[in-house]
Amino acid sequence: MPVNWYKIGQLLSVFIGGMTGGAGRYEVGKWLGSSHSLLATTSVNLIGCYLLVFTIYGLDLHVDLPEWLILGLGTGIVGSFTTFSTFGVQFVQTATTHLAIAILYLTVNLVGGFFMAMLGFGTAHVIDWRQKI
Amino acid sequence: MNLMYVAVGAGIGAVGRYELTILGKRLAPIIPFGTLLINVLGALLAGVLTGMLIDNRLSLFLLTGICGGFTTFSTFTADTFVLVKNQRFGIATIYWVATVGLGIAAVVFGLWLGMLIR
Repeated sequence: MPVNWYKIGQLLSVFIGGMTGGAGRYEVGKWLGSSHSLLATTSVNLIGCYLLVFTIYGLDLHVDLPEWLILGLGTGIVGSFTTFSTFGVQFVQTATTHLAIAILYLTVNLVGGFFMAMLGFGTAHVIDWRQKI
Repeated sequence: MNLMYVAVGAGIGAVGRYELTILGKRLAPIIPFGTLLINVLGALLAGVLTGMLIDNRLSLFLLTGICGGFTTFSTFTADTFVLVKNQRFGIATIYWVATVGLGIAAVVFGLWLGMLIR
């Protein structure tokens, strides 16, 4: 079977992007006290929602970037920067002791995330891409 | 060194997510089924590992790294946003409720399973 270099390039891009995003999430956690703090997870999730929609509707549509770069940025970096698993575990663990805080945490992530996605979409629309590129 | 455990884990998780997403798109082009499966599976695994109380270094690699990089909150939100924007409200609601509901249920079940194994 011939070696599919195209596919290997894509996987490498996602892997390196994923490493970068995960390391970024860990660092944000350290700045905000602990990588298991509710504030840290909320921060990376909200920032990531904004960045991903901006990447899809801004960078991917308007800037002539190669596919591997968009993959590395969106699926790799931003995808790994945010996390659903830690979000879920933290919600359940918090709910057993502080139910109100857990519900607030859930709401801020879900509603705030959607709002940040809208904001990312809005930013992509507001920018005059012809002048930039 | 801790950063390296997280980074390598997250890289592996991201590649796994990418492969499953491609498979999901082939099987179900309209509902983002791949991302739903990824987040629920990742939540289950994270629940098990948390329930098992694995030690710190292993936790950085497996939980913060692999589970964190495998699952994605941003794609989940972006998928929902795109569905709402395209006025596919029914599918958006099903996808949203399924991800949040099954995700939380998977964590609870995983924690219970992890405590049994421990």
